[in-house]
Amino acid sequence: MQFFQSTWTTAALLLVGLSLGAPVAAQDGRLEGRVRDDEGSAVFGALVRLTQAGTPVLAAETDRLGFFSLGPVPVGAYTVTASGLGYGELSQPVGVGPGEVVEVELMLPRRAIEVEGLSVEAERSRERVRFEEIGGATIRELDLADLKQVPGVAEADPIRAVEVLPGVVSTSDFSAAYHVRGGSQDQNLILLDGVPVYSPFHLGGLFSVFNADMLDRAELQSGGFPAEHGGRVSSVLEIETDPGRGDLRVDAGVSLLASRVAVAGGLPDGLAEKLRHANVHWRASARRSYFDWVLKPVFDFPYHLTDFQGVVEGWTTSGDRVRLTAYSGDDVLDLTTLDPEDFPLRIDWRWGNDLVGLRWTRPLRGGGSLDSRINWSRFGSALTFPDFGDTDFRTAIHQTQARLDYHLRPSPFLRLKLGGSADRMGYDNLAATGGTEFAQGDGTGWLLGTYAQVTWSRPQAWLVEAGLRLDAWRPDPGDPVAELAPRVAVKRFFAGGDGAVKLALGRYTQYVHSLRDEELPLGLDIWVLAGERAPHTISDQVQLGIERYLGRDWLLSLEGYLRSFDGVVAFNPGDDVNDDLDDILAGRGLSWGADLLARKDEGDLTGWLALSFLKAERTFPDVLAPFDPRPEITYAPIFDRRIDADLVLRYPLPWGWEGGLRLNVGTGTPYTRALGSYAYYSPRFVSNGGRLEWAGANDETDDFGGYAVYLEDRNASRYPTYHRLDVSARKTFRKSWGTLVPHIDLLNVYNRRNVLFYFYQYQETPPVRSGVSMFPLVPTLGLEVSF
Amino acid sequence: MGGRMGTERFGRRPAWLLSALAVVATTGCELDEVTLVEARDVVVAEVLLERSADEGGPDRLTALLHRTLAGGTGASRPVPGARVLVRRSDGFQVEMGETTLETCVVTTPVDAEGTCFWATPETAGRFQAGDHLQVEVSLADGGQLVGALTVPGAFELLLGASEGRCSAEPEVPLELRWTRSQGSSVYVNETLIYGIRDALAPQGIEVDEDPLYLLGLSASAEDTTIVFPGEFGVFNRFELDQGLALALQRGLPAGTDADVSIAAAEDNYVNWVRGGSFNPSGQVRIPSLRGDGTGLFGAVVVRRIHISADTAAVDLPRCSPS
Repeated sequence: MQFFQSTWTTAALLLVGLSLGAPVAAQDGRLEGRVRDDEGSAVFGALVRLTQAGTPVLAAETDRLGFFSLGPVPVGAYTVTASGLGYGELSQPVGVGPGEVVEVELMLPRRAIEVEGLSVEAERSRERVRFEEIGGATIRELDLADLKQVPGVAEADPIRAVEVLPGVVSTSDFSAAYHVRGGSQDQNLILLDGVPVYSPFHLGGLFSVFNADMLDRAELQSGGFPAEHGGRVSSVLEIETDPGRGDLRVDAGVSLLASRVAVAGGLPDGLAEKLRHANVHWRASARRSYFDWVLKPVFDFPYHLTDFQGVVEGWTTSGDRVRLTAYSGDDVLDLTTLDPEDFPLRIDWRWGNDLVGLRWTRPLRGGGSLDSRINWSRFGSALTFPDFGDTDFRTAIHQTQARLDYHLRPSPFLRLKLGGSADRMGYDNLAATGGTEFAQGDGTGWLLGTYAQVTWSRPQAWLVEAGLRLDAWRPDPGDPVAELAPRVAVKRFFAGGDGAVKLALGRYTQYVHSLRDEELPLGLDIWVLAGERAPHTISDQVQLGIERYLGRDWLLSLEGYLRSFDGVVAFNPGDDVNDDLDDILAGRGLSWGADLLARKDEGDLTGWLALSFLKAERTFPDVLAPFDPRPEITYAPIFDRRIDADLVLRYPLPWGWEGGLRLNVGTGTPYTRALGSYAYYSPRFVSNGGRLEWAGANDETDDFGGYAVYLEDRNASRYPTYHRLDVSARKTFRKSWGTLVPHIDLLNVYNRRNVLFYFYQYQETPPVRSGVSMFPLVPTLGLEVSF
Repeated sequence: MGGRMGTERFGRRPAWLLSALAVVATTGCELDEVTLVEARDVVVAEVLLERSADEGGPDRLTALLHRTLAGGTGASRPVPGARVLVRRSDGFQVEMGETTLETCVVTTPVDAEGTCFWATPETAGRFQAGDHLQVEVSLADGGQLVGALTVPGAFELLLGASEGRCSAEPEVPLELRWTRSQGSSVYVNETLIYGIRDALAPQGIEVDEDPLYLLGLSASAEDTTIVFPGEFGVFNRFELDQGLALALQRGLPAGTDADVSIAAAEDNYVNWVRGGSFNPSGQVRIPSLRGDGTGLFGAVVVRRIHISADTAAVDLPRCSPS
C-alpha cells in the first residue's frame, strides 16, 4: 500500500497545483445555458455551436440536464445554434462582453423523425463527451440498437449484451451472470435507473430481467469508477430506462422466450400543469413466458416468468426532473399440479426481484445539480413442499437507500461532486426440512457512505480526478467498520484531444456477498452481508490505458489493470455444524490483464473487436488440512478465461435486411478433474449391524449414486477452447400504422460442442470421459411491432 | 448461514439442482465419449467405530480398505498386506485383524473386492465416549494414512421404552427426543418400517419396498428431536409415492412396527457423508485420512428402539416422550 499512499499524495498536490495554475483569460467571456424541448424536457446530447459571421468558433454537447458550457469566448457578437436528434434547429444571436458569463435558454422544437443510424451516431457522440469529461472510469455504452445488433438467445438482453464488451467473461451459455476483470459476479453493481438490483436473472441465470424495449442505454464501467459509486468492487452496470417523449407508442414482441409489450405515453398538458409540471412522460412494460400455455395440450410445463416495469418522468416548469422507476418480476416453478405418478413430490418454487426508486434532480446555475433519491430493492426465493409443512427453503435480501448528490461547477475547469447515502440492508436465509435446519442465517446492517470528488480539466490537454469515499458499515451481528477509499485518475490528451493516456488508482469496498456456487451453470444467489459471519471486501486497483479516436470512424482502446481482492468468500467445506459462524471462508484474490477494443462506428459495416487477457486467482485456507497453521490453497477461479475475443458486426444484407454477427473465442475455463472413482458405501445403523452398503445398484439404474470421485487439485484442468458464431437478420417493414420487424437468430451456427461438463466414468468398460455441451445450433425467431 | 448441512451433503441432489441439470441436459448435447487410458490408483480406507449406547448393544470397529476402480472392471480392489492400528491418547492400542469382506459390507458392486479389518466387540467396547483416538493405516508398499477423532458422548432416548421397545398410537405423529451427545455434530436417524405394504393396501397406496427404509437428520448437537415417522425420509421425498408420503405424515400406520436408530456422529463422519463441492463426475467426499490415499476415520454412538403400531402389541409400554 506504500505505492498507493504516495500516489494519493502526489495526485492531490498535482490537482491543487493544476487548479491554481489554470489559465484565466480575463478579457474572454463564456456562454452557458440549457437546451430543452418545447415541452420543457432537457435535451441530452444536443449539439450547441457558436459561430461568428458564419465561421465556427466553439461547440459543445449538452449533458443529461441539457446543460452546456462554451468558453473561453473572445468578446464579440455571435450566433448560437442548437440542434439535436429528433429536434429542429434553433439559432439566436448572442453578445459576449469582457469577463462576462452569458446564460441562454434554448428551446428546441421536436420533430418525430428518428433514424436508427443517427441514433447510433448520437450515442457514440455521447460516449465521446464522456471520454473528454471522465478521467478514470473505463466506460462502454450500449443502446437499444447495439443490443439488437448482438444475436441473442431469444430476445435482446442488456446483460447478455454486456458479455461482448472487453474485460467481461461469461463462463457458460446457460448463465447471463458475468465477471469483470477477475471479479466475482456478485462484485458487479447493477443499477436500474440508479436503483440497485440483486440477482437480475430469470430461469436461474439464463436471461436477465430487463426488458430491452424499456431501455434507453446500458453503461458498463469496468474499472476506475469514481468515488460516487460504492458498495461493489468490480464494476458498475447502469441501465437507464426510456420514459419516451410523451407520444403514445406501443412496442410489442414475441420471441421463443416470451411475449412482451411496452406502452409509452404522456399525461395531458392540463393534468401535467395541475401537477406543476411542464410535462409528464411514462412507459410501462409487461412480459410473460408462454411455454406453459402453448404446451398445455401436450403436457404440463411447470415454469413461467413474468415481469412488469414502469417509469414515469416529469419535468417541472423550472427544469427539475422527477423520475419514478418500478420493477416487479417473478419466476414460478410449480410442480404442484403435475401428475403425481411422474412427480410424486409437489414443489412450489418462486423467486424474483421487486424494486422502486424515486429521483428528483434539480438543475443549479452554472451547470450543477442536486440529485435526491430514495430507493428500495429486494430479491427473494421461496421453495416449499406443500405436502410437507416442515420444509422451508428461502433466501432474501433487501436494501433501502436514501441518497443525495450535489454537483457543482465552480469554474469552467473544475467540477465538484459531493454526496452521501444511507442504506439499510438485511438478509434472511433458511434451509429447513425434515424437522431440522440445515442452514440458517440472517442479519441487518447500516451502510453510511459519503464522498467528495473533484475534477480539473484543461480541454484537450489534461484531466485530473481525485476523490475520497468513506463508508461506515454497522452490521448486526458484527463489529462496525469504516473504510476510506481514495481514488485518483490522471488523463493526458494528445492528438488534439482525439487520444488520451490515462492512469487510475483506487480502493473499492463491498459489504455484501453472494454464495452462489459458480461451478453450477444455473442457480440462484444466496446473499449474505458482511459482519460476524463474513468479511467485507477491499479491492485495490490500478489501471493504465490509452484511447484513440480516429476521425468519426474508429475508436481504439488498450488498457492494462491489476486488482487485489481481500475478503472474498466461499463455502467452508469443513465447517462445524454446531458453529453458526464458520460456514463461510474468507480468502483473497488477485487479477491482472489487459483489454483491447477496436470499434468502427460509421459506414455500412460497423461493430467492434474486444480482446481480453486475464489471469485471476483465489486463495483460501485449507481448512481440511490437519496442520496448524493451516496451509493455503491457491487456484484459478472458473472465470479465469485467459484470452477472450469477441467480434461483433453489423452489416447490410440483400433486400433491406440487416445482419448481425457475433464470434466469440475464449480459451478454456478451469475445472476440477476426477482422477479416479471408488465405490460409495454408507452404513445402515438401523439394520445389518452397522455394516456398509453400496449406494449404487447393480442393475445399472443408479450409477451416479454408486461411486464417489477422487479429485485432482482444485481447478487444475481446463476445458477446451470455447468458440461460437451467432448470426442474426432483421428487417424493418414500415407500414402506415407503424413498423413490423421480424428477426431470425442462429446461435452456434456451426454447432460447436463447447463443453459444459465432463463426466469421468471410470466404472464403465472401458472407462470413458463423456460430457454435456452448451448450446447446440439454436435457431430462434421473433417478431417486433411498434406503432 | 449457520451450520451448513445441505441436503446434497448426504449423497442426494437437492431439488433445485435436479431441476437445473434437467434444463441443461435437455438443452445441451451429449459430447462424444473418449476412452480414458488411465485411472489414478488410490487406496480408500473407511475406518468406522460404532459404539452402542444401549446396554449390551454391539460395538463395532471395522476398516474397509479398497481402491479406486481398476479401469474397466467397475470393481473395487483389495488392499493386501496392510495393517490398521487404532491408538487411544493414553497409549492403549488395538491392531485390527483381517477378516472376511462380509464383516464390513453387506452389498457391493458386481465383482467388487476389498479388504476388511475388525476388532472384536469386546475390544471395540473399550473405546469410550470422549476418547481421543488416532488411526494409522500402513500399506504394504510402505505408504501410510493417518487420522484422528474424538468419540462422541453417550446419550439417552427419552421415550419411556422398556428394553428398547414401546408401542405407538397408530396414525399419530410421535416426537422422538433424546439427550445431547457431547462432541457430536449430527444425529443420523434411520428407520425400517415393517408391514407397511399390507397396512396401506386397503387405502390403495402401493408400497414397493417392505420393510421401508427412511433416513432423517437432526443437523446439530442441540437438535435432539425428530417427529416419527413424518420427518424421516427427507431424502426419499423425490421418489416416495405421494400417497405413502402423506400417510407417513399422519403417523405410523396401524399394523406396522419399526426399528429406529439414532446415531450421534462426529465431524469426520459428517464431512465424509455430506461431501464437498459439486462435481459432475460423482459424489465428492471430504476425507479425514491424510497420506497415501483417502478415506474416513469416523465414530458414531447409536441408540436403537423398536416401535410398534400393532394393536396386538398390548404388552409393550406406550412410547411417551418425557
